[in-house]
Amino acid sequence: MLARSLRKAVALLALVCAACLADHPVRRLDSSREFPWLVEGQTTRAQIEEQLGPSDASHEDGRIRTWWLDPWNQHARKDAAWDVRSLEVFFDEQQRAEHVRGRDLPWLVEGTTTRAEIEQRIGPPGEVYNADGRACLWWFDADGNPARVEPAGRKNDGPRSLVVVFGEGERAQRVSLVQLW
Amino acid sequence: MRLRELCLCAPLALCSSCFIVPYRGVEPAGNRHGLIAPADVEGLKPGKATRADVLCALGEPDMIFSNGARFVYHTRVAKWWWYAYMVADQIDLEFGDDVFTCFHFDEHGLLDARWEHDEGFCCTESGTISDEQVEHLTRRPASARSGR
Repeated sequence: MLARSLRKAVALLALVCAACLADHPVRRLDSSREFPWLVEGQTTRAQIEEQLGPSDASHEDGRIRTWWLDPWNQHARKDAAWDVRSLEVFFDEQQRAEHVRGRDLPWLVEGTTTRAEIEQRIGPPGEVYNADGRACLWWFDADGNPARVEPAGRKNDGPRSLVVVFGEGERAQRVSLVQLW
Repeated sequence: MRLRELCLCAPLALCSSCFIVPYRGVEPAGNRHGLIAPADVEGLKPGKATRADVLCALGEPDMIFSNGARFVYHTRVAKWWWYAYMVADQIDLEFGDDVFTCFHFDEHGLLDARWEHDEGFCCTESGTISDEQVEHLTRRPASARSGR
């Protein structure tokens, strides 16, 4: 019991130290470098949707549209899946998925799917954390297949917001890519 | 209880305590922004900046109210961390400020006013604030500068 409590304390302290070091600023990124195919004055809404899917939000009757992206510029649903290359699952005492974040897997249902069922489909977790082992992390490669190792780089990067202001002919008039944290 | 267990438990009982750690850090989450630089907000002048300018500078807002007239960006800045250690379990709480950066637009999409609202928070790691609470907290104050 003592060891377990101390492990938890050390884990929490590590979390605090990590938080101390990070200020997570909101910052603009170079959209022309991140999206060389998206050219102001040329690329149409249809072409963007072909690459990223439908926009997640629109303003001013659709003149301004935004897409939620993960750190790899892949389209992700807000909250549920800001990072589509990882799957984070918190299990309850019965080893059922209590809370899920990351990749959206239709067969994984909170409160129902068990750890054994997840492991049967995508193998053992790449990382187990929390002293009691109730939080697990799985990783995926660029093609969406389970990966044994964490994708290189961008580990601490947050989600991104791609903002496009459309002009005549629904062509991108202004493009901005913002890293949200 | 055997002597060995007693020996183990004695220092543990003495060590059971709590402590507070001061620290500053932005706590990111799926529906919260990181630290917004004051210069980014200063550059968005009421009466001059548009909705597109705000979106291009800060990205999609965390919350939108009043039929798109009010954008709210939420940053959680932690300041203190309180940890209580007990023999059987432990509890931890965070203290800090929820910072809401708010923008109000007129019917033409022009920035009409901007203001900031800070609200202290005290919660566990997963604690959050509801949209209804934020809607109430970020109502435009009388002092909010208007571009008109």
